[in-house]
Amino acid sequence: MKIFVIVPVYNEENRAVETINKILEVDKNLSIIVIDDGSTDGSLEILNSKFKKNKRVIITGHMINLGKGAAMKTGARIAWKLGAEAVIFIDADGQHDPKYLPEFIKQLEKYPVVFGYRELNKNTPWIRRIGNKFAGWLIKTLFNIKRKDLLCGFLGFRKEVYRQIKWKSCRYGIETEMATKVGRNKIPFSEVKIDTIYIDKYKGVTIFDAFKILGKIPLWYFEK
Amino acid sequence: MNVITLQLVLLAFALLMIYSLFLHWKKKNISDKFFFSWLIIFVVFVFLAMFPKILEPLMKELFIIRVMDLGMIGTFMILTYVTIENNIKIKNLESKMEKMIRKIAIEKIKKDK
Repeated sequence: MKIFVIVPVYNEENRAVETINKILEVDKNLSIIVIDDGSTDGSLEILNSKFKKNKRVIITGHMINLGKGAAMKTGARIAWKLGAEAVIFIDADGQHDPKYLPEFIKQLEKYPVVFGYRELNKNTPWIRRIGNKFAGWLIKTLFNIKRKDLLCGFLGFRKEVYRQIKWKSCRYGIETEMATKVGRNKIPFSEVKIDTIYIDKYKGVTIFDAFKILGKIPLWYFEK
Repeated sequence: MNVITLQLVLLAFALLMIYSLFLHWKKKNISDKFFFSWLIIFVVFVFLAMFPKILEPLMKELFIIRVMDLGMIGTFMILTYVTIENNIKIKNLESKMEKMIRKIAIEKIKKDK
């Protein structure tokens, strides 16, 4: 199966380079599509200078910041154009360890969708634990899908299900929206346990984003 | 603040808005249609602010006692309409912009190849 790893990047100059290097080491057959989402810290220039000559790495960028969801969509479109049969998304900031990629690939052979999940433990902030539990219950009730981690961006899917799970969210909430679509369309899926690595306290999903995502869940229920 | 003062405040506000519209129209930031439609709205606004008694038959029909209440109801309705319109337009713009930027990003790869 031809699989592309898609790495959306936004202001992650050094961490993105490290993540891409790790992916390249994990599997010698994997190709990577890097989408710079309008970074202002020179990430695109750094990535170009490091990987321009590497044929396994395709780099492009949005002129302005559109959000992670939009970058993921651009990555998927490019992958399909290049003949990909499946894609795996991984965050550039280092919170997803590429060592799990072989497991994702293995699962993608069996299931059309594979989600990563981080186990909630005592180190997880209590507000996050409650939020995840409540959102999980809401998704289970409305879309009949049981997910262990609704906010994990380490995930993959095969091309055949892209139309069914295509997301509209541009900012955060893509993973949750995707889960609702997987539930609604009764698409078989698998989950891969990954390490919990919190890199930056002020990046990622904030409590305000979490409330926005919660508010969107009932709206997705009424969407076609 | 008595009624006359309030009327003067409303008049000043309307004139300021008309002047702002006029400046944008002169700079060609807005179309003739946009300018004249808003000009009519503000002229009607000034007229009603100066001669509120004209609204009394309508207020009787709607069982509204004070002109201010009618003004508030009207304002909320207009604001709701404008907010919804703006929201739809922004969403459309965002979607068009996203498609355009994606197209450029994909074409960049083709060029690089």
